[in-house]
Amino acid sequence: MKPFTTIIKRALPLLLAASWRALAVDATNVVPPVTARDFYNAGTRLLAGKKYDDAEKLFQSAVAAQDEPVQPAAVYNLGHARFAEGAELIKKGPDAQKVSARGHAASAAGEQAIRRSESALADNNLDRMIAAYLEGRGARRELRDAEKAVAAAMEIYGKTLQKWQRAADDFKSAAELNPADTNATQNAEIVERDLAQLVDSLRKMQAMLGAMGKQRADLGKLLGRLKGQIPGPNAPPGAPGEDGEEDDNGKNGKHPEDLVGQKENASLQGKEESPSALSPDQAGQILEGLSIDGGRRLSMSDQEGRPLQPGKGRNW
Amino acid sequence: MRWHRQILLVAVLFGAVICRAGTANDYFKVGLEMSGAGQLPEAAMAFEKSAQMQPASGTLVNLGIAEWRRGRAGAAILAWEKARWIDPFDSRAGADLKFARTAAQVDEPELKWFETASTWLPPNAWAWLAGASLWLAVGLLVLPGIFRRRKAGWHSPLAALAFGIFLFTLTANVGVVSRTQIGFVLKKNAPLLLTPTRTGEVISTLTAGEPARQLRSRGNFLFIRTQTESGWIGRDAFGLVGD
Repeated sequence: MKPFTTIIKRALPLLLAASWRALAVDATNVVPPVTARDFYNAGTRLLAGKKYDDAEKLFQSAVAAQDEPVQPAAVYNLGHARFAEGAELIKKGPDAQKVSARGHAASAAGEQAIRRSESALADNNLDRMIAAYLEGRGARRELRDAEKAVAAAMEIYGKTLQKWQRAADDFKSAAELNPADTNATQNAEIVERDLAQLVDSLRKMQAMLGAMGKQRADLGKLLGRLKGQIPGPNAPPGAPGEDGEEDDNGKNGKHPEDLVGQKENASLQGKEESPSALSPDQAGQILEGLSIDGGRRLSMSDQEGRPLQPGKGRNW
Repeated sequence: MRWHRQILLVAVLFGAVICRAGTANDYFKVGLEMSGAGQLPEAAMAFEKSAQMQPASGTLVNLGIAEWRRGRAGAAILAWEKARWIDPFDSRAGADLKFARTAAQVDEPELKWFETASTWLPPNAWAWLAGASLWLAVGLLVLPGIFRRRKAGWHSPLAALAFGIFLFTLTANVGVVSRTQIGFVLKKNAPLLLTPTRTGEVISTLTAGEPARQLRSRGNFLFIRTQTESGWIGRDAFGLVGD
């Protein structure tokens, strides 16, 4: 009886493990890919399931296997996967319209603060200098936040740019490998058009970032001058000559609560878009090329998007 | 009349060979002059033409020196490898290669045992040796019977030795053929591509002078295997020793 129990104890886990494995394979029908066609078919399944990152890796493996009949189609779908990945990045990233509008609003507020600071300094009016100083601090903070937002958006766009550049080259490669594949040529042209728009948008963002940086530096200098002009008892938070970034964080002995009753920049009161900040046309112009353009789709070849069934023409 | 024609043909052929050698020598002399004057691209071109007309290890060594001096490490290493291919005993080519590989930080090609054996003699020598050893073995076995002579005691051992040499030369000849697929990267930072296309994805960049084996070709691209990876490279960026 004892040997029988021992056998049962040892064999049962093995039996269970084997049956679970068999069930898992049966349920998901997952067989590890080995050949270029396996990788290609697995990639198309993932592409159809919108798992672009994994699909890209599988198509890369299919291309790297150097199987001549499979390679053109695999390169073509690799282009699709990369293009879709780039589009996903933009979708998931910060809203470009909002970022751009915020940048313009911050820029306009900064411009206004500079003008008021210069005017207050010219008039040598203490009340106006204090008001201009506080407004300038708010504007500068807003500029810094807007800069961060634009930089984050630029990073996302930069990654998308890389993906799309590679996608365009993949489509060109597919066309070169199979000159009869006109879809590949067409797709390469479409991706290049989108790329041009993306580059244009990136340049605009870069210009905006540069302008905001310069504006912030100018504003910083003016704030320093204002602080120097305001007498001690009336001085706003922060000692003269310490008007760095830390000022905004209340590290100079004063807290934001000390400024209660004194008005800062309007944009800090929850009004993100001041009337003079940005016209809808301007915002639209900046963001013209940033939309993913859902209306225009890349044409799909008969091999793309879904694995072909065995026995129906080519089995990959 | 028939004899006259044959003599004339031989004379023409001999003249052509002499003219060819003369032109190759002329190019070689031009190459030396240009090299001395510091006109390295012209010198390299002259040496290359001379080597194309009449391959010689000395010309190739000079070609390698000209290429090295003008900063083309890959072309220099290929030229010296070609010099060693023609004459494995050329010590200048060996020394130059050793120096260049140390300076450019590239490895020697990895050879299989029969390829290493094939480097002991020039490729032509292996072909001649194979023919000679085979006919010696066959002759020693067959000729005494044909001429109705008694076989001497040394006939059979010598025939066996000749046959053994023949078998060895066969493997060396296989090595020679196999070595013709070994080549070197000519351009600095040559891209190794995933596909044989102009816009192919770059797997990595290769150092000039890096050895690789050509496995196949397609259009303007060669599929090569380096010591660590494989991929496609443009024909203009890779040179075979056997070319």
